[in-house]
Amino acid sequence: MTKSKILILLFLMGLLQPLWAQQEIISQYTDSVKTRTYCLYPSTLRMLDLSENHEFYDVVNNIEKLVIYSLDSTAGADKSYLQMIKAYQEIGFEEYMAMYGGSNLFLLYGLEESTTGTFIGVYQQDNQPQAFYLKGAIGWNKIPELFEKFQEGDLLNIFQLNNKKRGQNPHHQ
Amino acid sequence: MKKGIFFIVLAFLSAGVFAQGEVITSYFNKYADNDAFTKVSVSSKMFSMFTEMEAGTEAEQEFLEAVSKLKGLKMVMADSIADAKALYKKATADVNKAGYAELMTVADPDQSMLFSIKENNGIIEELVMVVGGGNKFVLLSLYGEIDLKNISRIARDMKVQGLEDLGRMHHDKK
Repeated sequence: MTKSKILILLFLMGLLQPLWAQQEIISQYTDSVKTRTYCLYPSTLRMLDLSENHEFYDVVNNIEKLVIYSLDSTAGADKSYLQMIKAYQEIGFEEYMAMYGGSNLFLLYGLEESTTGTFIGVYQQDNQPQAFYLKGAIGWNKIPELFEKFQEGDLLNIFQLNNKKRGQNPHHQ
Repeated sequence: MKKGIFFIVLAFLSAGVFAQGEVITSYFNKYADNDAFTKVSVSSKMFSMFTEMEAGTEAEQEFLEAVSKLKGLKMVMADSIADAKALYKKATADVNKAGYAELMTVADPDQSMLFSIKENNGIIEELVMVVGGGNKFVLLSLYGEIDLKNISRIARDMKVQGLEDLGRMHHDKK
């Protein structure tokens, strides 16, 4: 192998390593505290939209990957997710939004690349903390319109797929 | 001598920078570990995401323009505290003491509101809103270049709990 080929290979490895490392941090953290993992890609994200809402398609169309980790109650109680966020801040992730206190929890941190970005965060759903990793671009400007148009039941709630009332439509209970 | 003047100017500039947002920052710190209060912080990075968007409709364009000049938002709120009115009085006193110019007040037996601003060369750089009454208290600070005409639009479209009172400013001024 020529020197130039070796250099190119080393350069590519150097480029790929931070990308791999980005998801590795959340994977390592959730290893001991996760109860379930949901991995969604553009096609699976579109399947969640039961009413085939055009705005929803615009929001998720450029998302390459979304991984949601349901965390156990210890993660919520000891706030260990803050350590994970600190690790992301150390590699350049910046705070986009934070909401906390009482039963509210929504933390969003991101690292922008040229046209897309990587976002990580933690939020609370039905008193259960969830962490997420998102790679791609989000149609932020479509979100307000999406909120206006969405009716309850328009979105399939993946967190209810494995609940006790399995087999029933979670929106018609 | 020149160095001395430079440092004095720098000190004044720094004081100005630190003064901005001082009330909200002090409440943020005070209630950081108090679960009765929800703390919200939206950074300039979040607002900058909107500036890179291409508007498809006139409504989107209006929203993006309104948001593009904002640099940040901070809010401390509670909806189940016993002494909301007392906290409202203290917060409004703190806002007035910090040198904000009062823009509008709504005195209501159930819920009072105060809107104050900090201006620099005719540009509104910070808008502070205090709401208190019953069990509810909100202290909000919006930074950046603020166009009051667009505040109600931002309040309506951002769909953040607590921001709905911002929309009243435009409505009540009519």
